[in-house]
Amino acid sequence: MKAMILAAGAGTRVRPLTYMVPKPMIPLLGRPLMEFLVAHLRSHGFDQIVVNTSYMAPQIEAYFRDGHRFGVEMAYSFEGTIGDDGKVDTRRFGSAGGMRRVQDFSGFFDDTFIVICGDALIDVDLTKAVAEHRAAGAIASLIATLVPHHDVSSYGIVVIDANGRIGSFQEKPSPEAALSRMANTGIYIFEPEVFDFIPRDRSFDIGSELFPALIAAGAPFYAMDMPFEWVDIGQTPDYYYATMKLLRGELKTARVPGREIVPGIHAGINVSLPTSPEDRARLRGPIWIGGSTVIKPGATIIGPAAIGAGSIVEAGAHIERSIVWEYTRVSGLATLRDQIVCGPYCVTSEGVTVWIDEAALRWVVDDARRAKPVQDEHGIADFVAQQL
Amino acid sequence: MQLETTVNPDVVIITPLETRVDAHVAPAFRNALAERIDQGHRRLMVNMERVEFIDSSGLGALVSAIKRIGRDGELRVCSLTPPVRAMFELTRLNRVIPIED
Repeated sequence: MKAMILAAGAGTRVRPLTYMVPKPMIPLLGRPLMEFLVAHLRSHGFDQIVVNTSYMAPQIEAYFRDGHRFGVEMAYSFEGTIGDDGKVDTRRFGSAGGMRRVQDFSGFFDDTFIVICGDALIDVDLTKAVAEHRAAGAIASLIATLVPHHDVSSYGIVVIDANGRIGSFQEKPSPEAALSRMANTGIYIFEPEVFDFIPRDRSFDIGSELFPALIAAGAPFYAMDMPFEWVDIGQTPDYYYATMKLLRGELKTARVPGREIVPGIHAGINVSLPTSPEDRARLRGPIWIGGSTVIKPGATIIGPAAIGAGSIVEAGAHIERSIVWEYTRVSGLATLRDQIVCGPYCVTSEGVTVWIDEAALRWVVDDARRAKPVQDEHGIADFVAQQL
Repeated sequence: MQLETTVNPDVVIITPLETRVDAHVAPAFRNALAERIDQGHRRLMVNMERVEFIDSSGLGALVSAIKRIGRDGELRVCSLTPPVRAMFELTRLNRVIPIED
């Protein structure tokens, strides 16, 4: 069966992570979110997947290529052009416009198909959802889930009748205006007839334009309220908490990769850990360590914690309940508590960002590949060392 | 660099009026603190409520003031905005400089 993954967005609500990678490539313990999604689609028989790309498109396309490595066939609908100056000019078609573009290109969607956002982890039973969609005679269905009342303003909210047919759709209403708590999860099932409702040659959004058009026309448009694990990375703190859950083994949709080399510590290959009992006692799981990373004797890591591949954690470093992306040098002067370190950014679990370059803090956290570690020029490190 | 200084009998409160305390203003910040200390003030409170961003050099100005005060005085900071608090925590200065709300 055929599917489309929506992966063109700029992910502005997940900055600064999306300064480094497009949202679908945000890594959960080293693996992009979208990889879990592709695996899930495949497990339900969706083996032809078109992905619309725009923002940082090459990262997505270079990772998934033709899908062969993931057991599916994949192709891309790049939403942009490259000018004579070599600059990429991205063109936004909107989510529904992106679908239309694929359909106009080759008539790709010739049967019931799925459209799904590239940045959520789901374990929903897609096979059952497609069966219900067909049984209802729908031309469009969405999978909904109940959200807390105070969160409705982050979602599309639907009101359904006893048969599941959608009577109204509100895109991100205020809690006062919301007519229900049933939220659109960004998982859609369509029949090719849906293209009758998507205009050509202009940007068109699924949530704010296509759905109201379907309702206005009285088209058979249904919501399925299916309980499932939905890990939605809406904002940066969501990513932090999802990773913490994964490390604690509380997610059904993902497992900690690598081998459990000592109880509570999973690691990739070519990892260097201290060997003495005192140094080992400073490492308290759950911890995941990516391949080719060195944890030096005298470093403290208190889980849940994730240290990305190719990183260096120096003696004296203190890392607690934090996520460190690949190729990071955590100096012996650093304390990372409830932090995400992604490239040159440190982000707290609440989303407060420090840009390491701007703050002149490379002596605390830096790229592990830098030829020479940067020293503190302002006497802070020496002073702290004397006092503690 | 714009600063507001309030002299109380027991403490001098220094409030930087800049939103950014970075390499451009850090030397002036350092000098301003040194001046207060050299006037004989030994208990300083730096009110950071206006400061949205501080870099290593700004933190370095605080450290050099603490050194200048020596053992018979104290420098405290208060009203840290979230990004400034994050800087204190990343560098461990939160463990050696008293922070008040």
